[in-house]
Parts: sequence; C-alpha cells; structure tokens
Amino acid sequence: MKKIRSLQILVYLVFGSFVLRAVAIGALQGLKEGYGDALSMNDDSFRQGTAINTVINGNYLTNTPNGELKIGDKYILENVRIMGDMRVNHNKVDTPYIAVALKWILILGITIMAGMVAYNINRVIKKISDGSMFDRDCIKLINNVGALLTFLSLADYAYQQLSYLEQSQLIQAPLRVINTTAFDYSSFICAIVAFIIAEAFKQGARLKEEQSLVI
Amino acid sequence: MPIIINLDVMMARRKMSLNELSDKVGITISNLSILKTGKAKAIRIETLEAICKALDCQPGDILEYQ
Repeated sequence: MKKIRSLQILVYLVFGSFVLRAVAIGALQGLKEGYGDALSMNDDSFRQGTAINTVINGNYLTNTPNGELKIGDKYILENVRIMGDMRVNHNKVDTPYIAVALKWILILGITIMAGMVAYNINRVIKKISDGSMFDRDCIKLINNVGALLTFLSLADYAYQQLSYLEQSQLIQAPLRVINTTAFDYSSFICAIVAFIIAEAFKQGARLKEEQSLVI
Repeated sequence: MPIIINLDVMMARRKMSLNELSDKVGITISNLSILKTGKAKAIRIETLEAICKALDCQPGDILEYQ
C-alpha cells in the first residue's frame, strides 16, 4: 500500500514539475513585470513591454549577410543566432491581442490536461493495486490517458506556433525571429504506448472473462 | 455450440437439486448454473470427474456432441 501511495505521489510531482516548467514560470514573470509596471506608473517612468524569450538571426550582431562570424583564422561560426529576453516598446508596435488570449486559453488547457493525465494514471495505479485492472473502466482510463497526451502534444505545438506568430508581429526588420517550434514527439510516443497498453489490457479482460467461464 | 451439457437431465434422473450437487462437487451454484445453461467455455477434467462421481454416471451421459 505504501509503495502504491508513493507511486501516486511521484506521478503528481512529475506532472506538477512539468506544469511549472512549461507554464508557471512564464506566467509568473508576466505577473511580476505587470506588477512592476503598476508600481512605476506613479513617477511617469518610461514603460516598456513584457520581456519575450526569443531567438533572432545573428546578422545584426555579426554584421554579415549570412550571419557568419569569423573567429581568428581557424574558425567560422555559421548560422549565428541570438537568444534572449526581448523588450518591445508597446507605443510603436501593435500587440496581437487575439494571440495573447489564445495563448492564455492554451496555457489553461495544457494545465488542466496535465492534471487530468496525472489523475487518470493514479486511478489506473489504484485499479492495478486492487486487482481490477482487466475491466472496462481501467481500459477506458488508459485510453483517456493516451488521448489526453495526444491533445497535450498538439496544444503544446499550437502554443509554440502562436508564440512564434506573436514574436513575428512584435519583432520586425532589421531583426528576424527564428522559428524554433518543434513538435513534442515524446508525448505523442507515450500516447501511442498508452493505446497499445489499453489494447493489451483489453485482451487481458477477454481472457479473464473466458477464464471465468471455465468450470 | 455443438457440445451439449445434459447436466439437468442427469440431475433429474438422480433426483438431485443444484444445491446438493454444488455441496457434493464443491463448485458454486453460479458456476454449475453456467455449466447447465451451456454458457461455459471449458470444463476441467477434475470438475467433470467430480460431477460424474456425484451423479454416478459417465462423462458421455453429461456431454453430448451434435
């Protein structure tokens, strides 16, 4: 029983860490900077926009058309990219509000989905420990985990694309934002594994039913 | 299913109820009922042996192939 409980706590810790890493840090930074802006409004200091973590092409830094950086006689660094927190003056550039709204919806969706995945996994663990894993409810829970992981990877990709679109709107020439979006195949592969496990449990349920009819 | 279980026929001949047979054989009434209604997927040799002993009959008296 202790082992099962420890496993369930571990599941919540892992998914909690995932949510913190993916969502909370950026949201907290936004809230802090927003709070900081509110504090500075009283003394009419110049207000700049929220810092956006971005990757831009290195042409601006290397002053070469191909973004190359020659280091001594031996080395040439190509495809130079600069990664940093960009501050954009909101007075001169329009903020795509629809993108910000969609991003917040995706953040909320990703947080809820991650929580539901953790909850469903813990219910499966409970069923396995009770010895009732070869029933329809357990198979349905595992399928739900697979579906949620699929939606989670899609939502994460959509969030990345929206972030890139937002940056492209805010950061313009002479700077060029590099598209660093990447589909999270690890979550998708985990979803496929979950579906395969659900099929295996389905066969187990069928064998269990047959076994119960062996007198 | 081509195999027919004539358990109820043998029970009637021996004038034995399901409860009595269940006590003699050591199988639950629900399992005997599954056997009687032909829903069973398989029967263990030891179970068949116990039923034949309780009903004093041959396996062929209980199992029939059509």
